[in-house]
Amino acid sequence: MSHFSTIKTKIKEKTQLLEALERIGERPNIPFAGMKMVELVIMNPDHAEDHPTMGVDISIGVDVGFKFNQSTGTYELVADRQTWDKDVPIERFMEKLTQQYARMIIHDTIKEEGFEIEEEWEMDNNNIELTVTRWV
Amino acid sequence: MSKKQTLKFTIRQDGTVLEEVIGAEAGECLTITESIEKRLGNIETRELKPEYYQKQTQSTEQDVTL
Repeated sequence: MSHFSTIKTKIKEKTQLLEALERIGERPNIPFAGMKMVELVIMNPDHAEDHPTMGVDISIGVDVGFKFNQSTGTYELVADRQTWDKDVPIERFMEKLTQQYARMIIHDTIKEEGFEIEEEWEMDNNNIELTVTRWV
Repeated sequence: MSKKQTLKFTIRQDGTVLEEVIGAEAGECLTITESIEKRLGNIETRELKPEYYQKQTQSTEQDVTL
């Protein structure tokens, strides 16, 4: 069967999420051996005198991270808009991350299925075009 | 006889993936792409290309002659 499909990407796998974060120039941290969570410090200036902490599965810096939501099976961003200091707004950051995540998932899956990358382009419109082939 | 299978992906800047299968027999491309679709997320739309129906018709005809 031949088909076209449109798939809305959800971030469900940790390995590819870590790879995608590195691709967009971040340095993610995961818990040390024996620990379950990384602690984020809530930096909200309104409460500068006391910095509550929060456990997440992956951290970037001290106050941004990702937490796995058991009920949806996806990783969710934990961040504070007031202290967000990256080059791009939160929404664009998540789009860039999701795009690279999808790319990493596709790379990993096609390898398992015996496909090889024939072409991979980052286009002017920011789309990524990827062509993979195999002989059967 | 060996045959080339091609998958084309367009990963949009918001992370939505468009996937196209080229050169697969009837019923075949679902298994090829199933794992990718499963790992990525939810399928929003799926459109079958004409050769899917052609292949199906051919195999029905073959059944009749056999």
